[in-house]
Amino acid sequence: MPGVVRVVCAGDLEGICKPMQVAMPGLNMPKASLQYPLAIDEVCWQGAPVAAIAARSRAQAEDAAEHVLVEYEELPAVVDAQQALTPDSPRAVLGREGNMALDCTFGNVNVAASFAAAATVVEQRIVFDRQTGVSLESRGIIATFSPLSGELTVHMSHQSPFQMREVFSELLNLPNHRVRVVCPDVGGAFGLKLHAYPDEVAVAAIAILLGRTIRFQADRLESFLSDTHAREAIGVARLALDSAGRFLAFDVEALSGLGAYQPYPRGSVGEGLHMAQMVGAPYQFDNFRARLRAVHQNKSPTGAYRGVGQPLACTLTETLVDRAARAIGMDPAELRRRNFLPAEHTSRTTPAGLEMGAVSLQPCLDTLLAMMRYEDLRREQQRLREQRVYRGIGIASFIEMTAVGAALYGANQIAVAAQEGCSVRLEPSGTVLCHSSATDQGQGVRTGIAQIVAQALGIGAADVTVRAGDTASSPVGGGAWASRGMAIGGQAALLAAEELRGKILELGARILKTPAEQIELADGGLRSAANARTISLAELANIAYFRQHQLPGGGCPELSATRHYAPQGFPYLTANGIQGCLVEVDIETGMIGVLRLWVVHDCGRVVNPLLVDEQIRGGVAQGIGGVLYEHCEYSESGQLSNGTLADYLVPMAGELPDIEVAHVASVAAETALGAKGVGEAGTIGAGAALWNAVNDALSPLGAAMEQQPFSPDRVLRALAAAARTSTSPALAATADIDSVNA
Amino acid sequence: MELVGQVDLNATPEAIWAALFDPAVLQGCFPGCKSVERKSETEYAAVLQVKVGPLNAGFNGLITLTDPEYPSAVTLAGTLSGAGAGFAKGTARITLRPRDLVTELSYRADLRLGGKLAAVGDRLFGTAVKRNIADFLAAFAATVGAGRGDTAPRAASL
Repeated sequence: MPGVVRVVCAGDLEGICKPMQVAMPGLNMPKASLQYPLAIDEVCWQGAPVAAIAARSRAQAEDAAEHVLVEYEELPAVVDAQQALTPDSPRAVLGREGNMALDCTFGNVNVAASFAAAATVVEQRIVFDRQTGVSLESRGIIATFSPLSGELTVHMSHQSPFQMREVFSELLNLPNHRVRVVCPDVGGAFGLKLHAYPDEVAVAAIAILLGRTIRFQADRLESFLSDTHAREAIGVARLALDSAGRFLAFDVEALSGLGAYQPYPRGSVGEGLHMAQMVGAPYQFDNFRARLRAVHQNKSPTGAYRGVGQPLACTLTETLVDRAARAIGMDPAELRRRNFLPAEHTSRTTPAGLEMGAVSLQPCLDTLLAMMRYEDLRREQQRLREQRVYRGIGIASFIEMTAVGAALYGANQIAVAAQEGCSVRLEPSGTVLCHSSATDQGQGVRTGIAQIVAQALGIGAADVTVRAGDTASSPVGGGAWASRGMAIGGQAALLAAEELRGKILELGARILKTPAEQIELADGGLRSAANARTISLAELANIAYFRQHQLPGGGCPELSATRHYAPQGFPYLTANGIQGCLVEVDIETGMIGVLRLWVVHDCGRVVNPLLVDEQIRGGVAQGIGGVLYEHCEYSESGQLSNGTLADYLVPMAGELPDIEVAHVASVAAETALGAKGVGEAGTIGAGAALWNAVNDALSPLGAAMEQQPFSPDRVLRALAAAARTSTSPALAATADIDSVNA
Repeated sequence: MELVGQVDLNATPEAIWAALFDPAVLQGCFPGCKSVERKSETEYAAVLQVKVGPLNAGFNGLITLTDPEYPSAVTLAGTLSGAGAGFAKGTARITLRPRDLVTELSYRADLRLGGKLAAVGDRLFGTAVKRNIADFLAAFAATVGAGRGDTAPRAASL
C-alpha cells in the first residue's frame, strides 16, 4: 500500500524488546503478568496494541490498518471488581492463579475493643467510578535510532525523562548512556504520563528495528482507550466515637480495580494503598485497621492520577465524619475541630502507620469558616429550605503527602529518582542559565525556579533561563511526580544558586579588593560597601571567561554550581488543607449546581502565589469533574462505550464556581526553602467537600449519594429511594422516578 | 444496543421475502454497501464502508439466516468486523405480516459493539445505525414497491 514502510507484530520485536513486568519486593504481591509492547496470543483489554504500521503519514498508516485482520476467539471477560474477587470469576489475564494483585492489612489492627466501647458507630460505603486524566495534549513520542552510533533519542510527552531513560535502556538492551530522552514542555499530564505505555515502548523498539525515526501521537479516541484510568474503587469505612464525640478508631475495607495490568514500572497499587491507609489522616484516634484488596479486570490499566488515592481516602473520611456529626447532632465543623491532629511541630507515627510532619489544620479551619461566613451560610440554608430550595454546605480537611522521597520506589528497587537537581551558571551576558531536573507539565515550575535563583543572585527572574526535561543536559532527577517541583526542585535550585552566589562573591572580593562579606549582590551587579566600587555580573563573567590574565592572583574561576536535594530523615513533606463547598440541588431534575468553593491550604512557603492558586483551582476542577461528571463506562464484555468528549463529560467553565483560595503558610522546617507540594491539593479535597455539600443538601429529604459521579439520574434515584422509605409529602412527587427511569 | 421498528411495504410477503434475500437488492439499498455475496442457502457475505464520527472504516460482514418461516419470519445473526475499527455482533428477527393491501415488516435487533466502534459511543453510533436502517428501509420500500431500485451505493454517513 502507498507509504507503508512496515507492518509490525509482536514476533518482529522479539529479541529487540523485553516484556514489562512490575515488581515491588516491598509488597507481598503475586508475580505480575508479562506485558508485551504488542500483544502475543492474548488481548486483555480494549486499547491493548496488537499490531503497528509504520507509514510515511498517519493517514496512510490508518488506511493500512483497515487491512489488518485479527481473528479473535472471544473469552469471558471480568469487568466488575467485586466479581473479579469471586473464585469462579474469569481470569482477566490467562495464566494467573486468580485476579488478586494485592491483599494487605494496615494499622495496629486491634479495633474491636474501640468499637465495642464506642458510644456511636457510623459506617459509610462509597463507590468510585473510573475516570481518566484527559490531558489536553495527548501522549506522543518520536524515537530515532542511529545504527551508526547505537544511540536512541526519544522525544516524548512524559513527566519523568530519567525514568524513561532507564526503562528504554532496560527493555531495549541499550546501555543507559546510549539513550537520550527529551520531555520538553508537556501540555498536561496529571499522572497519566508517568508510565511506560506499550505503544510508546513499541515505537522505540520499531525505531531500532527499522533504524529510522518513528512517531506516534494518540488521537482522542486512542487516548480514552489507552491512557491509564484511575479511581475505580469501593470503600467501606466505620468510625467509632466516644460520648464526647472524640474519635476512637477507624476500620476500613477497600477494593481497588486495577484493569488488566499494572503499568510499568511504578505499578498502580498506590491508589488503593493511599485510599486505605490515609483514611482518618487529619485526625487523632487510637486504633486503626484497613484492608486493601486490588484486583485485575479486563479494562484499561489504571495508574497515577492527581492525588493518587488521597482523594478517595479524603472522601471516605470526610463523608464518614459528616455522617458522625449528623448521628450525634453536632455541627460538622465543630466535630472536626475537636478531633484534628494538634499542630505539634514534631513528626509522629499515626496508628495507621503514617509518618506525619507538622500540620496546621486548626488555623486552616478558622480561616475557612471566616472566608465562607459559615454561620451566615447555615442561616441562609435554613431559610431557603423553607422555600424548598435545597442548598448544602460541605467541608473537607485533608492531609497530603508531597515531595515523596526515595523510600517509595527506591525501597522497591524501581529506578525512579526521588531527588531533584539544579545546575546554574553565570553567562557572559550577566544572566544565569539554569538546568533543572524538575519538568514542566504546565504548572509553571520553571517560573518558580527562576524566581528562587534570581532572588539568591540579585537579578531579575527574566534574567534566569530555565531549561528542563533533557537527560543529556539536565541533572538527574525525578521530573514531575508527587508534588515535588518547588518543594524538592526549588530547594535544589536554592542550594545551587547559593553556591554560585558564594563563588561570585569570592571572585568579586578579589576584583573589588573587598572582603566578600562586605559585598552586596543586587540589581545585576556587585557593590563593595567598603570602597563603593562596583562591577556588573556581565563584566565579572567576562573577566572570568575571557580575560583571566587580568585576574588578581590568577586562576580559573568556576562560575557554575550543581546541587541536588532529596528528602532525608522524613519520607515526604506533609502538606494539609481544608475546602468548603456550597451547592444547590434541583430535586426535580437531579442537577447539581456548585455555587461556591473555598480552599485554605498550607504548602509552606509560597514562591509564586499566582501559580500556586491556579494549580489549586485546576485541581479543584478535576475534583469536581470526578464527583459530578467523569466516568469511563464499560459494557459487560469490557468495551469502553464513551470514548469521546461528546460522551465522557468533563466540567467546563460554565459548570465551575468561583474558587477562592487562601493560605496558611507554615514554612517547612525540613528544607531551607520551606516549600511543600501543592499540585494535588485541589483535587484531594474538592471531591469530598462537594460530596458533603450534596449530601447536606439532600439530608432533609432523607437521601444520600453513595456512588460517584452524581449523574442527575443517580440523584433522582437516591431521592426516590428515600421517598419510598419516608412519609414526607415533599418527596411524594419524586417517588415514581424509578419506574420512569427503569 | 436494541433496535425495534416497523414499516409498511407496498408488496406481498412473498415478494418482500424474495427481495430480502436478493444480493443485488440488498447491495443497492444498504447505505455504503459495496458488495453482497450469497455464500450458501443461509449465508451471506457483505462489504460495507461505514463513517461514524471520527471513524471511517471498511467492514466485512457475515450473516447467517436461521429459523426461517416462509414467508413470514426469519432471524439474521451476523458479525461485522472492521480490522482496527472494531466489530459489531448481533441478531435480528424480521417478521412480515400482511395487513389490508400492504405488508408490515417489523424488526427487533440486538447489537453488541466492540473496539473503537464501541468506544465511539451510543450517542454517535446509535444515531448512525438508526439513520442507516431508516435509509435502507426507505430504499427497500421503493424497490419492492416499484419493482426497481437505485443501485448506486451511497456512503453511510452522519
